Amino acid sequence: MGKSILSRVDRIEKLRAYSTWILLVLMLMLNLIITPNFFSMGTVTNIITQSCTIILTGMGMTMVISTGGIDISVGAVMALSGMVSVKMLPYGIIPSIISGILASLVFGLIAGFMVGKLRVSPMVVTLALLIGVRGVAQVLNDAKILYISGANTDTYRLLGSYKIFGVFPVQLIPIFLAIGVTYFILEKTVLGRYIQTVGDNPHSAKLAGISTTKTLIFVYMASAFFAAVAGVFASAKIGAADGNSLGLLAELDAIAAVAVGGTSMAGGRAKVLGTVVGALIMQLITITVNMNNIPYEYAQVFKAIIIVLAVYIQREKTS
Amino acid sequence: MRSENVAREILVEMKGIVKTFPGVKALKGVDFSVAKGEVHALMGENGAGKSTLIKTLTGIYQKEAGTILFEGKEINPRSTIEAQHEGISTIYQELNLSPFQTVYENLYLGREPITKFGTVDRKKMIADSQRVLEDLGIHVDVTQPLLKYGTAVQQMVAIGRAISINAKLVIMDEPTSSLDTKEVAVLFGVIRKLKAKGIAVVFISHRLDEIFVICERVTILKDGALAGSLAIEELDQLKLISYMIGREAKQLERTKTDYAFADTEEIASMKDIRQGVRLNGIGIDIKKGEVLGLAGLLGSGRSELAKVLFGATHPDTGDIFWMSEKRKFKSPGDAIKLGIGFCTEDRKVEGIIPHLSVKENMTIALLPKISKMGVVSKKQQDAVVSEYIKRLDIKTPSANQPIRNLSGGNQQKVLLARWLCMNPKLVIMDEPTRGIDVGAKEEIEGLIQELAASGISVLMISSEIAELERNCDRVVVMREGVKLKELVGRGIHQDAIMEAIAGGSLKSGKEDAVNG
Amino acid sequence: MNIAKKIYNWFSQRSSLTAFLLLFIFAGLAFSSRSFLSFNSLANLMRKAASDGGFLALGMTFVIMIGQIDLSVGAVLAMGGVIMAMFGNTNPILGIVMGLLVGAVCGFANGFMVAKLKISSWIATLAMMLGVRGVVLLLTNKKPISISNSVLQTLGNAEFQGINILVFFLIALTLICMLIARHTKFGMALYAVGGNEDAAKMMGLRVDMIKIGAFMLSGTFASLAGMLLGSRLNTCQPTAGDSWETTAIAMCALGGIKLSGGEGRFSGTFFGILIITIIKTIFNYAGSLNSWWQNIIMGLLIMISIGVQSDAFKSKGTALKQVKAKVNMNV
Repeated sequence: MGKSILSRVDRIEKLRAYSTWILLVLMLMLNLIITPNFFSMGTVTNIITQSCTIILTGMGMTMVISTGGIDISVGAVMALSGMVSVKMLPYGIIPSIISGILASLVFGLIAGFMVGKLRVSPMVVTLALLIGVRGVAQVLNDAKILYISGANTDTYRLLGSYKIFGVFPVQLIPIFLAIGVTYFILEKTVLGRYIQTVGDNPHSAKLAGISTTKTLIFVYMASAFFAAVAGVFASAKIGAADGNSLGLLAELDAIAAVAVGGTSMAGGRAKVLGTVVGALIMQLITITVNMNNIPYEYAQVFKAIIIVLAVYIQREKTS
Repeated sequence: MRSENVAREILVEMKGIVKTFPGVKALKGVDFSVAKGEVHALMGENGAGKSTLIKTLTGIYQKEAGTILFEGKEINPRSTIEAQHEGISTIYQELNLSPFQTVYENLYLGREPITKFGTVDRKKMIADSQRVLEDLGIHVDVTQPLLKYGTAVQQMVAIGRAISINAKLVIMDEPTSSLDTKEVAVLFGVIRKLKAKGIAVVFISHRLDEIFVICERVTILKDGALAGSLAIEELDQLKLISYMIGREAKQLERTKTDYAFADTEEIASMKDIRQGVRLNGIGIDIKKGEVLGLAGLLGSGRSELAKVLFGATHPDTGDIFWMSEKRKFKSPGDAIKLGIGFCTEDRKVEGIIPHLSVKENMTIALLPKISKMGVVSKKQQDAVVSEYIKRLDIKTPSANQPIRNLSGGNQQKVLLARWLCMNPKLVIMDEPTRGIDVGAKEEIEGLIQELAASGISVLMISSEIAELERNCDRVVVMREGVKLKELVGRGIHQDAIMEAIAGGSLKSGKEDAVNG
Repeated sequence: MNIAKKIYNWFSQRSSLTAFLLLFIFAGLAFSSRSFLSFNSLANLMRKAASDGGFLALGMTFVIMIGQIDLSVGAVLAMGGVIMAMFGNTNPILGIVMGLLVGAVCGFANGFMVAKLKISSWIATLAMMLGVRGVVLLLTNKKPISISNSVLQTLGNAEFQGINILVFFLIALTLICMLIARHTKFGMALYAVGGNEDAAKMMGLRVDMIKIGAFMLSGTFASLAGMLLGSRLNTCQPTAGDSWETTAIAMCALGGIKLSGGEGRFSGTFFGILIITIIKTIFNYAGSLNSWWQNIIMGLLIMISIGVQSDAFKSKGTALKQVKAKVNMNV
């Protein structure tokens, strides 16, 4: 292996590894040039509040995809948790949020069990949940929108509108916590190593003494957890829980963020920060389009192209 | 080495085939020729190069040097389809057929006959496949899905397909590995029919008994080179084995002398283990601080036995004892907790975690021990990793390098370190020095002695009998899932091991049954 | 006894047909007062099956058969309708041709990404879904296009003997699909690729072409669905077909099309379509039950049908592919 060949391959590899960051920077620069008032507090605030959902669900999705699986039920789980939380609001803000999370965890456990123990395909299980759980969310309020009202309304709505020190949107808290916790788990803990091993080579994982079942149950419950929290914050911001539309298509955004972020869909090495960048890119596309008065649909088309490009560039070269 | 046989009408002749992979010379200029209608065995241990040779012939690999002549003209197939068009078909171990489709569909996939309306002519397919299979002496309902039938019938279908696409050479890769005695007899009947049609058969197998029944000629590869090519009459089992794993010039002297463990307590033992067709009532025991070797050819069941001991698979019957206490291992985790480590045979499939780093690969089993409340102690982890990188001389730019970027030998060292760093009581090593250069081999063998000296037992599976000779206090010779013989202390040397392997055939009546 | 066993076997081999019949009988008995078993309601049921995504399920079957997925069918449905409307009001033939063509092109793009660019069908068709939906919204400025051409209007609304023309289309297309699957080389190849892709390659089948073909069929069926839906409603909405892909997948799953690929028949899909439709209808009749319960039931049904599909538990071909690269059903 000649040295010169090696460094050229190395350079291409480095380029590919950083392609997401490069893309993010390019987009920021583009906005700097063409978007009026881009670097204003208002824009930054918008980015933060709007990306709360995709970052949270993206964190859970990163873990699931890292095990070689997928979870397309996160949007439905968001709707469920939002609905349950709002319904339980009269009992207090803490019970309300906790019940929303618990309800979601139940379905996360079901998913984890079916994938981990019964070895059913993740796509099938979470597809069934996608349909069924949204149904539960809709049934809970007869498919009508549930506006937040009555006891504890103001407290709950703070979760959507509060500004720390009057400046920073409250969503920063769940965002940073989610990223922090996920990063910590995946990079610093035993469990994080297990998650990535199960996705990278399940045979080796078993022979190294890893319990694949327990690991899988964890990631699906984690995904449900993050979706639950996202649902709470989203409903707080909107001021209502709508079983039909809350979290609709959220799973697709999350998958896109993870894919663009560089975590392989086949499982293995998880790129948590990559997912964050991927989420920001997706969000930036929306914002760029909005702030330049371009019809939103262009954003959709751009997102689609970016997703394909990003996945293509970062795909693994199999010899 | 080559015996004279002027009467052979050569069908395919491979001359001077060279094939290298990064870091490994798989074929170092190999000659191989097969005559028309000849049943020719291709033998050699793992890594000898036989599958590489066949893949070069069938277009999966491209040779770097040498020529391939088929029926006198030079060919260089670049895909299996091209090879098939030339008339070379392969029946694989993992049968490459469509499991959910019917037998007749499988026979005609890709070349279905058409009716005058342009639709697929099922009637014709059914009739023709019935005929092809009956021609081979096989009577099955061709309208059933393939997976309804066992491996034996599926093989027949694959053979039938090969015939119906006018194969002149059929390569069979370990065809009898999942067959019982009766099915083997049927297969041999089919092979004889092929022979009668003038179709040559290359028979890749490690089952010596069968070779002697059905094959006319044997070619043996060893370490990527031709070890010998003879007519079957010129060979007996011992001679054949010596070609395959034959005497090597000893690079290291055996340091062991008398057997010192007769009165030592045992650390682990297995009694009367049975599992499927692979393990047929075998028991071994391992003493504390002993290096126990498992010798035998491919298919003797050594790796399967190791997997049972490690809890990776479960035996149908039989018991495992650890420190004289009966145990049931539900999963490798149970074995690991007791202090057992397992360095697997196929590191790519069952060993390495390809995208993860050297550091992560090495410490993956150790993690529970170097973490508090689930959080890994980076300090401890780094310390362990750098210690073993040094100790095993693992060549890597850094501990964070993805393990798949390392050479095979270094990967193997990382995997060894994975278990060594656990301070195990028993380490099972399945072909620990396969794919490792000589210098590293010495290091690892030295390491094994160190382990044993410190009271750690080692169960060593190896196809290199010289390696067993050098390192083991005791050698158990296995064949077809049973223990043939035990060699102890001064009784361990290469000739004795080979004789032991050659000496026993479990089913001595098998030869009569197989002669169909 | 023998006859009874034979009958039982016949039905158990056709689980979707059986399930549908059972549901039908159940509904008939439960709603006998409302003449569920009348010709009219049956005709309505069939019409609903045809217009509410039946064609999507047929097209999706091709893709699932080869072990892939097509999430873009909802969006392509809208695209097909809109394109037909745009061209068809002046020239109906052109409208129909363009409508079908756009579906084929989208399908080709999907197939190309999956087969040649080696992008997982999840990502590829997800991106296609987002992109196509965006383009459709842009093209129409988010406003529906009405169908003014009488030919096109007839296309969706004609009736023979009280049965809507869509029903005939559905039945005809199902038969065509059954023909393709069972009697053409392409069909045989489809099953082979789905059953064991590596083996199919080894046997000389042109796997890439087959993949592209399956996706093109799915795309064309999707745009056809949009065209027929638009014709029937006399208007093509850019938001049509939203989230219909999951319904299509559910119809296939209930029709016994194994999501791992290589198994299942179009007759199964047909009854899967009917099962979903009849469930929706039952809910409509049982007005007191919240109609959103059907989503919960659908979710449960998918889970159960997976359980009943004998070896859908394991990722397909564990024996075949244990040692090879991971089989990823979801990617």
